[in-house]
Amino acid sequence: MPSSSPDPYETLEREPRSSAWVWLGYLVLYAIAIPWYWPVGFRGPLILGLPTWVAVTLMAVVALALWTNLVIRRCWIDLGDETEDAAGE
Amino acid sequence: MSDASFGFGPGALLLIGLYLLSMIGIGWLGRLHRRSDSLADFYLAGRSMGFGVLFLTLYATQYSGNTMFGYTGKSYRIGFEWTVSVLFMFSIIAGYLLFAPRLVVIARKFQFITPGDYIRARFGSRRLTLLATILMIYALGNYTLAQLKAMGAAVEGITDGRIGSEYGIVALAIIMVVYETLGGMRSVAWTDVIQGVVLLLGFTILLFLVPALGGGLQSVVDQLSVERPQMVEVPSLETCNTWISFILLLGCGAAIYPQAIQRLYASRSVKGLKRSLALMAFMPLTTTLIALICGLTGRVVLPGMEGVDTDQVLARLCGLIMQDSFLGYWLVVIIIAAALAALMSTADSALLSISSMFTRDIYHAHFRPQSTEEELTLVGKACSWGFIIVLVLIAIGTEKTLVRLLELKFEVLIQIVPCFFLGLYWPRLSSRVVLTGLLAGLAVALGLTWAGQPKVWGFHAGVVGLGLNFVICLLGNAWFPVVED
Repeated sequence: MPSSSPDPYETLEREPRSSAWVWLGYLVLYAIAIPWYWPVGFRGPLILGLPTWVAVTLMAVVALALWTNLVIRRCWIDLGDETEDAAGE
Repeated sequence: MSDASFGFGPGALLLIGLYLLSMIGIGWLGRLHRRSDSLADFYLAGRSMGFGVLFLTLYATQYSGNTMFGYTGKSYRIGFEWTVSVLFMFSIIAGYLLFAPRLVVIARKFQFITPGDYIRARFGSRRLTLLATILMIYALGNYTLAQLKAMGAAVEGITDGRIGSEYGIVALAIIMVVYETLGGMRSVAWTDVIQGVVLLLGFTILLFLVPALGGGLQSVVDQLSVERPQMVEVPSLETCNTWISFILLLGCGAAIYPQAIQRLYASRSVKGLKRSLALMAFMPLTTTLIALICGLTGRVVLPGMEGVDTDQVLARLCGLIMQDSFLGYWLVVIIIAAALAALMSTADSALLSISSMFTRDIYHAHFRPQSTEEELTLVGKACSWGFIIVLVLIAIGTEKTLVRLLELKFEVLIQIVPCFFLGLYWPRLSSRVVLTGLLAGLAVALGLTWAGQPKVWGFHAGVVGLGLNFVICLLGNAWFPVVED
């Protein structure tokens, strides 16, 4: 894969890494998921049996997973191989 | 686990024995379906994995014995702070997005089999490829060791100490290496399908049975709030640094696991791979979150466990469930089968990767470049047996907790991250710069660990080393770029 060879990624029409808004979305959701902003010693009322800060973190993880699905669907487009396999191994 | 108050009867042991032996049968099926004696067929299942197999093999490989035993033990020790495990297991999928789209394209174009193939093709450096390969083999060896150790503990537990852990390790290692050498990746992936389904079933059962032992999740958290309030309170700012460090450590390190990279190579279509990764993003909620809840319940139901013993909390909770009812007994049989599935599916994939890297990137590249594909496949199989014998011997003597073993391997593995995360995007990044960064990062990571400073301001030594590694690559890319011919 010498650097002088033709662009090997020419079939890659779109990729997540090159979209700034993708990583801005991740930054915001990670900032919510990491519990740095709660007061010291905070637990909060239980939500579905979980302390408030844990419930917020888990909701952020769900949002991150949904965001990732959107990113994979919209920002990872490889024209070289978009044919689906009906029956895999 | 010998003090765990449970042991299976002959019926349950027979069922688990048959389940384990069926893995050899699936391995044999994998062998029957082989298309050639090529390395691509043996190590990548002929690059033919569709969505279903790919998803389940990624799942079964990513969630290991550490998840079941190590993570429940860790949440037993530190409480809700271990919610970070849900976040960092998700981060592995985000990590893939930073390099997988490009790696998959060139892997298909240039027919890569190992991560070393990419490094060799991208950087053209034998030294860098060899060093990266050795580090990956070390990390995977460490990973496999943790699985073997947990296998021994599981066998000793389900037989109530009648079969010692060393015999359990040997027996399960033999089953694993037999089906692996029969059909290579095809056998491993097909067994992963069964193991993945059993694992999902096992975690679902755990979610319904374990919190009930403590009167339900709410009751467990209320009791912890009174008895150990620090386990339910929000972590300190320094601990939040550790969360960020874990996200970087796993998000980067586990995404470049050689066995994970080889599954990217083995996918039949990009579309199938994308669907698998999209689904994988939700799996921490069905797996690590349940392990967290089990560990917390264990703290209330089985107080007083310390140190390495805490890795046995899940087994002891299972002991309580099976004493409760006839149904509980058989559900625990499924849970233990799931635990064995988690251990074996992770260990077999790691072992296959070790074998492929040794064969392709060391034996073929440095000792026998003229060897045929048939010879290399044969060497790979012999290598699997050789490595498993060495690892079994080491496993029988290791005493560290499962999570500590996990952390130490990532300190080393993540120093290879710039090869992928930067190498795929910065065409002027030279092998000398990457090698310098790798060595510097490694020196910092190991130096800090050996100096008794495994964390700096909450950040793991490996992450600190990776920071320096990235800085060197950044500066080196600007000041000492590759000179075009």
